[in-house]
Amino acid sequence: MNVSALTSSELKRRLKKTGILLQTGSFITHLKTSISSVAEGIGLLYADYPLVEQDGFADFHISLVRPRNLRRWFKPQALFVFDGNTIFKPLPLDQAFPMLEWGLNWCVSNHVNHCLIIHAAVVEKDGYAVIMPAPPGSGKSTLCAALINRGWRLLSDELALVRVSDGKLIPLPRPVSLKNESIEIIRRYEPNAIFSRKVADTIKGTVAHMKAPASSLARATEVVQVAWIIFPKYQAGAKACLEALPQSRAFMRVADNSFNYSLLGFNGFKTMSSLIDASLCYDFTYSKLDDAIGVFGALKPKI
Amino acid sequence: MKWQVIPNQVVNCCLWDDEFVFYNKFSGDTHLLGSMATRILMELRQSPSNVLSLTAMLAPCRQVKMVTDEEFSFQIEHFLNELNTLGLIEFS
Amino acid sequence: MIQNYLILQALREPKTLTSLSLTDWDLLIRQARRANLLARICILLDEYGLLEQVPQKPREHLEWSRVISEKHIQAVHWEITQIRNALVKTGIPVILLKGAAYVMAKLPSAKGRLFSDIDIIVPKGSLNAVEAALMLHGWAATHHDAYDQRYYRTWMHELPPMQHIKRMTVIDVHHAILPETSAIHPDSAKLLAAAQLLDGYDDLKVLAPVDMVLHSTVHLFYNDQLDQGLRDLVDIDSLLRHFNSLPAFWSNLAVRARELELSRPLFYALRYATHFLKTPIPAGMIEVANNGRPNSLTLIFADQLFERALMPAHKSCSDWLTGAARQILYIRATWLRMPPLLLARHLFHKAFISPKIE
Repeated sequence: MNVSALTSSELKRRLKKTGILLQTGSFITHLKTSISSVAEGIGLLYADYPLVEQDGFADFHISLVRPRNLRRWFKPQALFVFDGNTIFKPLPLDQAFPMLEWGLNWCVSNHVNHCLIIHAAVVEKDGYAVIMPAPPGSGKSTLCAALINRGWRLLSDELALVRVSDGKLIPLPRPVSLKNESIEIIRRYEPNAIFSRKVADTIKGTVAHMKAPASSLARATEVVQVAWIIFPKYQAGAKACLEALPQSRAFMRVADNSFNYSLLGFNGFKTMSSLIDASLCYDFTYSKLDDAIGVFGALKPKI
Repeated sequence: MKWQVIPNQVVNCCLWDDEFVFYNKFSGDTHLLGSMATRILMELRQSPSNVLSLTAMLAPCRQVKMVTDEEFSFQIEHFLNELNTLGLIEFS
Repeated sequence: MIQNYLILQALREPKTLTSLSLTDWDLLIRQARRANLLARICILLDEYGLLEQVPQKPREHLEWSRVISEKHIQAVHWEITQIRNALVKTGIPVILLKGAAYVMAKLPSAKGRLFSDIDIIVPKGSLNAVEAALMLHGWAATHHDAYDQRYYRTWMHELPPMQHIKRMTVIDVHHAILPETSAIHPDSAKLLAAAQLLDGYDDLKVLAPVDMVLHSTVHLFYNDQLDQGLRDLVDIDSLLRHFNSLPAFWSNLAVRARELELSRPLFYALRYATHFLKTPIPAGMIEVANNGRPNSLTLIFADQLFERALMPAHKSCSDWLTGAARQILYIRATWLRMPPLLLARHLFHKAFISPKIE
């Protein structure tokens, strides 16, 4: 059964009373909240995600709550709680849904150590994946959102999960986080895309989340081979341009963008070196999304 | 006094083009070695060597021609010390 | 009150875990993660060859945590190398305490351990030399607040924790195992004199087996932070099981406890280790340990407190008194470590003046 099988009032009731067991990629999250904006966000962006019906095992137990302090009367807040422990500082109540998204990323990046986890978007076409690691502000999510609206499959917008045992990429398709001008750019680029309500004044500026394509969700268990590592950089007025990156430099930059490279020790090094060996590595500057799509479409995997 | 590569440490290395990425299994740190350090390591891998003969062997790779022999040999020594600190080479 | 928590079952009888339902596994993983014992349970199961029989989902969590512990143990080895390098010229041997000692002495208590710092003990007269040598090699004092500095230097049994400026690792340099201000003073000179060189080293020591056990009991029962209580009790359990094979271990332990004025914490440690973890202890030893038994009323009270506070700080292991129990034990530990007037000042200072960083 998918989330969409519940009416919005039933979803809200379950979230409040027992919580739901939500399946995203290979993870099951037990989620409880009585905050209505979170319930609405789940109903809208997670409509096509499976609900685990019978009681069993959840990877992460989280709840979003309103702290019981004086502020609740004049400046209400939301708190992300991981199995009874507060992880982040409270945020304004309005930001509860983006906080859920950040919190879900935290759960994965802080626990899942059978994978090398890179802060990166991952998309796939014809059996080969591109990893796009990039610091915030590089336009990684914008490019990712454009690509998945033009035939590429979404594996993840934030977390590249590279399996230590065989170097394969594990999908974790979740809503794509867009910021500031990117929100309108992608709305115009794909008018049919579904967005959560915009939330202003977060630590990342104004944010909104775009629903992941149903076709990507349907293939959420299919692992993929990496072929390219591309560091995107949006530059106003720039021509779309790929520039080959020495593998040694790519190694260090990907490691810099990894959550658990150092934690994995020698396994991290081995996984990373196989990843780099298997990939063509580039710096990519662009300004027009269509040009970028063209360049990505013409990529050829390493022989 | 000659320097040699510590045999079981070079297992944790990747050589790409003329640069080396090296994982130190003791500290858990990863280091990127530039082309000169990599060349020194390659030479030492062939056979143990000392500053004097390394300076002679690597003279053609000197990037800035202005550098005197003495300065160049000083640079080599500096690289050798770095490689030693990283746990890649030792006195033979 | 004997709690039948899954975490205790896992520690006592890992073999029985193969029959757990997924719902039980869900709860066990959460309790064990909160108690910092997840990696240990993973290793126990692996040693019994049972890890493959754990359902995939919980097995993944166990293995994820083992990765963290392996990294911690690698980091401890490296850090100790750095500490030795820093102190080599002082000629003062490094005596490792607690987790770092278990790792370097390859004791079973090291299995699956996580670390937040490294503890060493040196003679009080060498403190300045050690501090200076560490500072020369990149460690810096962490407590800049003048009150905290004075608190440590006048009343505590250790320097303010020092942090390495590059690696961000923390070292606690002790000169005693209890603060200067506490009512009992286990003689540090005796501990240092009995310390044993580690195999293969000439500058690295650990406490003698009986002292190691006694220090871990002090650490648990005089500590104001009981959130790691169960992990500390597991240390004691594991040390006792391991040293059981040493000749005259138990009689030495009893004698040493009396000599160092540590019969009370030893009594508590044996009581709760057998109670929670079924540690096998010879009947004669239990009798001898009764020397350290408090009066019956105190004991009833202590049982109520420790049975709550030693459990993981997870809602499935808490009742309505758990919060109060932790609070009372915090005040008790501080009380045991400081005379009353000092305590009042310290608690006042903690409550109202020290800036809250978190």
